[in-house]
Amino acid sequence: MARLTPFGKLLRKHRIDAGLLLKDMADRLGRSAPFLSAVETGEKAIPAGLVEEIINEFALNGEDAAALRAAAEQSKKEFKITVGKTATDSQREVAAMFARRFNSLSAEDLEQFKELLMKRHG
Amino acid sequence: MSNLVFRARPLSTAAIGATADQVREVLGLRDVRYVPVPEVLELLLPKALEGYVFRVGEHEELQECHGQTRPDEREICLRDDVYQRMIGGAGRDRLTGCHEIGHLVLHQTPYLARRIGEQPLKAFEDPEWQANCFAGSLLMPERFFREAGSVAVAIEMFGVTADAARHRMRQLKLGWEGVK
Repeated sequence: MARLTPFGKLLRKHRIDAGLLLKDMADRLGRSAPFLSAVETGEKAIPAGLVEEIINEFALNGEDAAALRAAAEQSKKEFKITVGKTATDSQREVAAMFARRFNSLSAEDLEQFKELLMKRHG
Repeated sequence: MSNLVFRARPLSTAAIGATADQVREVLGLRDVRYVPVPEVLELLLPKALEGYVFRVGEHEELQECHGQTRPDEREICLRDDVYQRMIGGAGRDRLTGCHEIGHLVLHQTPYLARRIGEQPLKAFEDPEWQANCFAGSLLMPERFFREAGSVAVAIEMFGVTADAARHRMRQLKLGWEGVK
């Protein structure tokens, strides 16, 4: 079943405002139309880098860029940290933001983090 | 295809044509000859229909289906190759896009029932026939079609296949030269 994710909704809004088809956007981003569709409906996770590529390619202003980033955080399906199925949208957002920070940590930081988790949860 | 197990409420060609006209009206296409089908699917319908989703599917997902519509989900999906050809202006694929809009508009739950038994469907209660009829009317409204005067002109004017133009000509009982 296809419902647009918050990210998908916002991306589509930008596309419609600019009068672009999925194909136009896909071509400019060097991706396929089915791929963009799958990301918009949450069937595929938003790949690393895509949000910034969109922001650059479509020259989104600061406010729009921030909104797109926030929507992407909210839409992320694949978290490094497991989120319960009953998590609300805002809980998911928090976990996703945390997961993103997690991605940007250094190897040392990751080790420390692992140790911390081990201590806390045995 | 799963559609074969459904029976639609009976609809006449005239009733479907009137619905297609209404759709044109709502989308601001009343005076348009050549319907920009990709733009209708992607830019106009999202504004006209709350919750509507258009997506493009991989060949592996849709397999032999050119398109797939879930009227209750307000979702239209086109197979990637069909989508690309539709944007390129191929008549057959433009018709497919409109066929799916037909399902979206005509076949929400109260109007579609699961078939019971094996009695053959009458054309006017067959959802596939209805969607085709809708597509023909949306692309080739009667008032413009009469202007065309020949199949060759109609093909160009409406961006349809020769088959679709001939079918519409017969449906409207027009006797254009050189066409049976």
